[in-house]
Amino acid sequence: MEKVTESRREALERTVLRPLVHTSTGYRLLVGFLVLVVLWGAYAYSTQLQQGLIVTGMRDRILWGFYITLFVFFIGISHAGTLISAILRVVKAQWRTPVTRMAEFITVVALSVGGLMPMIDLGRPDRIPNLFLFGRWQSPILWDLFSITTYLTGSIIYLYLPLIPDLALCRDRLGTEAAAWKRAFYRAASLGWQGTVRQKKYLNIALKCMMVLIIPVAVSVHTVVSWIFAMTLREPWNSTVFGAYFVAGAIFSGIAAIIIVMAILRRAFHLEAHISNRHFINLGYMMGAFSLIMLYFNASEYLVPGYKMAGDAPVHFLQLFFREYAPFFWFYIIGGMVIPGLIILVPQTRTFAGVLVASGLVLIGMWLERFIIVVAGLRVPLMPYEPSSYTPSWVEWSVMAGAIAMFSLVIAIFAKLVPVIAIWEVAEQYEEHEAKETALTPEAPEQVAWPQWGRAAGPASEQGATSGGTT
Amino acid sequence: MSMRGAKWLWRALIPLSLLLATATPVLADAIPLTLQMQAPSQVRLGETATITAVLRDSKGAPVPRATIVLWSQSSFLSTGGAVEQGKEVTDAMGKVAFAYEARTEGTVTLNAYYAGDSRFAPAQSSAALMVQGSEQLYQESPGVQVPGVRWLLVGLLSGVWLIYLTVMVLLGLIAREGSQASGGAGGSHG
Repeated sequence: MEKVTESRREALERTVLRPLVHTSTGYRLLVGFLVLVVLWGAYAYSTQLQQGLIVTGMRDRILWGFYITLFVFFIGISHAGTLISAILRVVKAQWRTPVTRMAEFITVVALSVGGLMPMIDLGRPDRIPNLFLFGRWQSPILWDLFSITTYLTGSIIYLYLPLIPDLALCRDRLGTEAAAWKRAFYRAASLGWQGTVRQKKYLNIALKCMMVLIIPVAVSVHTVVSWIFAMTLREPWNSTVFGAYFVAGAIFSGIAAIIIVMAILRRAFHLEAHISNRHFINLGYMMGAFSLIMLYFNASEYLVPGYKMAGDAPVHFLQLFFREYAPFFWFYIIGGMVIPGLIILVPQTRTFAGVLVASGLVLIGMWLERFIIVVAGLRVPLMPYEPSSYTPSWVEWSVMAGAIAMFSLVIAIFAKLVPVIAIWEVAEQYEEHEAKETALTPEAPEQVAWPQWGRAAGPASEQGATSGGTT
Repeated sequence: MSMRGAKWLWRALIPLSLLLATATPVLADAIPLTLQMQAPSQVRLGETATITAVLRDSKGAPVPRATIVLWSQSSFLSTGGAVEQGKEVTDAMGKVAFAYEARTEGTVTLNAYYAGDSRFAPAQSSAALMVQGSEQLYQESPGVQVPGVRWLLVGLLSGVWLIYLTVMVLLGLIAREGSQASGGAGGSHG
């Protein structure tokens, strides 16, 4: 049985490490296309820098548009990763192992790209230091700055920690197959990982700290993002459940993002042996559960003010339910929540393809939800004037396309730099699974938690020393 | 004339046009009136000035029970126009008094206006008021002040970053252990 585990691990390493040293023409074409879109977005942004925000569709009444919609959308997606990965780790969900790495990386990239959006929205990026120089504790904008910075830092650490053993594996296994700069990167970033007892102990402590800490930090981020709206004097934003509503929406869209990214990477890197349809369906279950939670929040969000119809609520409800934003709103409710929920609920549609379609619908629906919150919310007049309108300009469309392309590009580059699956975690899972299958009593988790490869392999490493091992 | 000047002139002409338009039907046999305004020449920003106006007919007799409107030109963001500052009815002496709170620094032109009726013709008068000072008039104050909440937030944030720092230290220990192990391995190979 030991041989079976060994061969499965070998196959896993071979499959997952292969994309790091082999690049296909299709990949080059994809990267080239994404670079072009990013450049186009950069050109549009340079136009905005030169001519000011007048080149956008934003005006004094509807002063936020695509940029802030994208900001909230990306911050939402960022919950995919760290939060879901941390929750799955904390509850020790066995099927999580091939998912966590991609999820954690989505977090870091989405946060980085999303964080750019308010800066682009500022119009005058030279005023960003004013946030630090003249920021006020009373402002949710400042809270947002602190929470996003804290979350981004935490997410980078949380991404990096479980990467260390895999980076050491890359260092030891790829050899001259990898480019010189990559070898230097693996050498430096693996921190001299040998898999000694002490190193494992330190890494375990660090991982446990981070997996627990990152959950409240992630929740705080989207709560604070929601407060930027809820604490502003606008009729449609007067809500006490916005924090929980935003967090639930973030996890919902985050799961959808993981499913789509995972499907693309599985196909591109031939990871079918390690990421099965079961993984997608399990994530689909989570997404289905969150579609119900989101439906509940929406009912609560619209039923209570709709019953009272106080202030300008009738204006908002009319534009959402019957007029300007009705197509978006009903697509979000039906296409973005009801249909995905039904796809997961019905056994015949609860397949890989079904989950993928549901995820696409959820992502579109959740983008529309953010658009409705931002733009329709601002459209309700604050003073007695006629409701305004917002039509995004080519600059905003281009910047949005550039941002989405940048998100995809960084993920594509990352996938060629480090293993997209946490090899050591999957290997550990295989070992545990096979140990159970042979009815052997598994060793204590701390003892089997680490695959033994690289220079640390062998009994000597258990005593804190190194050995020639498999080098 | 600059665009801004032309805009203000245009805005000033609107109430004047209204005045003339409404006055036309009563001009033929209406008794002409004079409206005299009195205002302090200068006032500090935020202080309340008393503006008085007396309405008399052509013989100098006071006109009681006439409604006088005090207005000025104001602007907010991209909108602007004549803003009513107060409305009072003249007493037996034909006098009204307004309490005007100076909220804008600089020279403010205040206008008192009587619309006229079937007996009396409309009348208007203006007075310039110099408002001095630059203090912040509006001070935000929280509805509820929770003592120490700021430090609680700082404490929470610091706690999170302290844990990050601890994790960094652990990474340092991993690296140190790695270099020691490598050294040991090198030694053994050697």
